[in-house]
Amino acid sequence: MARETIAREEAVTETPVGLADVRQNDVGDLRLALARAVAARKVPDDAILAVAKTLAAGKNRIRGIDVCIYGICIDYFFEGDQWIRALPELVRGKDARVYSVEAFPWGIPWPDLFRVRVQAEFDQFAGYNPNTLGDGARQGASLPGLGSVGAVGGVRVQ
Amino acid sequence: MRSGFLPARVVQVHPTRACNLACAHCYSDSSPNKYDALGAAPLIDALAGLRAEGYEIVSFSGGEPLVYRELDRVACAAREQGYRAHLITNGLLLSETRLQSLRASFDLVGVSLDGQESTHNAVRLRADAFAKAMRALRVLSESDMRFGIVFAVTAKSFGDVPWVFELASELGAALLHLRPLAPEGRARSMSNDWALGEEDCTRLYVLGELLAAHSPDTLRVQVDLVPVSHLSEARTQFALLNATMRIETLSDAVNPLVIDERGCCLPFSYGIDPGLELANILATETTGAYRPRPESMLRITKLLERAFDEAEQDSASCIDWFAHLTRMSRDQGRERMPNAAALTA
Repeated sequence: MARETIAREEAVTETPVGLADVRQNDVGDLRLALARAVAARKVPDDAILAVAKTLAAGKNRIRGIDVCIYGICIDYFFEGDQWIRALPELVRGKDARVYSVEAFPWGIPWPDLFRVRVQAEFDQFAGYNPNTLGDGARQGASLPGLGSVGAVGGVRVQ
Repeated sequence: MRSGFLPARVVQVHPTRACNLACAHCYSDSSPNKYDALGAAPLIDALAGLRAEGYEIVSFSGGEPLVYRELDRVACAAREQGYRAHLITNGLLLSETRLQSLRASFDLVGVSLDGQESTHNAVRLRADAFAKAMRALRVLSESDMRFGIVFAVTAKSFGDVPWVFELASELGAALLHLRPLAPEGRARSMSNDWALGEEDCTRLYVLGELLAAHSPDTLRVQVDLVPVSHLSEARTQFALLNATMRIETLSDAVNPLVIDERGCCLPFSYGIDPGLELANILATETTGAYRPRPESMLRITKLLERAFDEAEQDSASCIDWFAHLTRMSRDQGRERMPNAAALTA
């Protein structure tokens, strides 16, 4: 698989600033809203089971979980190029329908720390946002124009 | 070095079953009508012996440890022996004054909660239990003491987990410990609508991961569930099942170790089959009594092997490992004593 031979230079295309597409409070609200939806049993059992398998599939410590337009994105931190060796495991989960993997150098003051974000498709989570999550409303899993790149099992390093 | 599932080597001490509450879910069947309590001297001697066996944390539970008269004396001695001391309380007696004395002996105080007010009070069978637990948490929050919340997750309190997470965050707690309700002690008599099913456990695991990923660095979220897919690797962390690991001390093989109110030293969990007893602190006078002995290690090895084998074949995606071990130990005990099984039936 190409993902196992990706050069580090190719993989690192964004700075940590690129992560700041939402304010920190919004991220916190989003995660807590997701937790509330899970606790209130608004997310179906089959989706929970699939997410649990994905979360349990790896040995690496999960440093963040967010919802994204594809479903769930899971963040990890690695020092140096350890993330490259960890990549096969990050995308291997039984039900991990991985859409993309993004690696970011964390930058000053830790230029050798990498944050790796794995985006996996979970229809039941896709499109959740803080304004709709509490009501159980959600958008469709797919967005116009993304059908072909969102192929199940595909891995893209940006 | 790790021993089993826990990152640190722990002695859980249940010095009494006396309690100022009689909770509906109490795994140790504690209540105000129970008067048994361990003396301080044998307990302090035992802790010294177990410290030499590699244990590093002593955690006091019960019963309610704040009604145990010897608590401060034993905890101070444990600290002097080099332990870190933890305490889990229902909070009823945790006033500012009481906290002052606890600060000298304890590194972390956990307050148990079972849900928001109505659920908590329903489980605790007392109308002011929640208010007093919250008062205790405020007292801890305003002090420099490290503290945590130990939250019993039931079908009825499941929806309160995000609430307790926010509460722990706001109060500055160091730990949020989410414990699925174990069907032990009086909890066996609770109606089914309190019990967690397999799907609930999977959901709780995901919820715990979400909250752990969301929590500030100062707050650790711990869930007493392990994904079944992790078990094959977890086997390698148990020295009794891993020939490459040497067993030089009892804590290499048994973690946590439980001392119950009768002085029994038991592996892993309160309520585990008494046939697995390692020693009794009331009948033991030398610290060497806590060395790992081949016959007891063999019994524990059999239990672990069987528990892993059965769990790996289980259809559930997550299990409560210590509750599972406790159940399995009873099965093993019944097989060893078939007449006892007939009596139980």
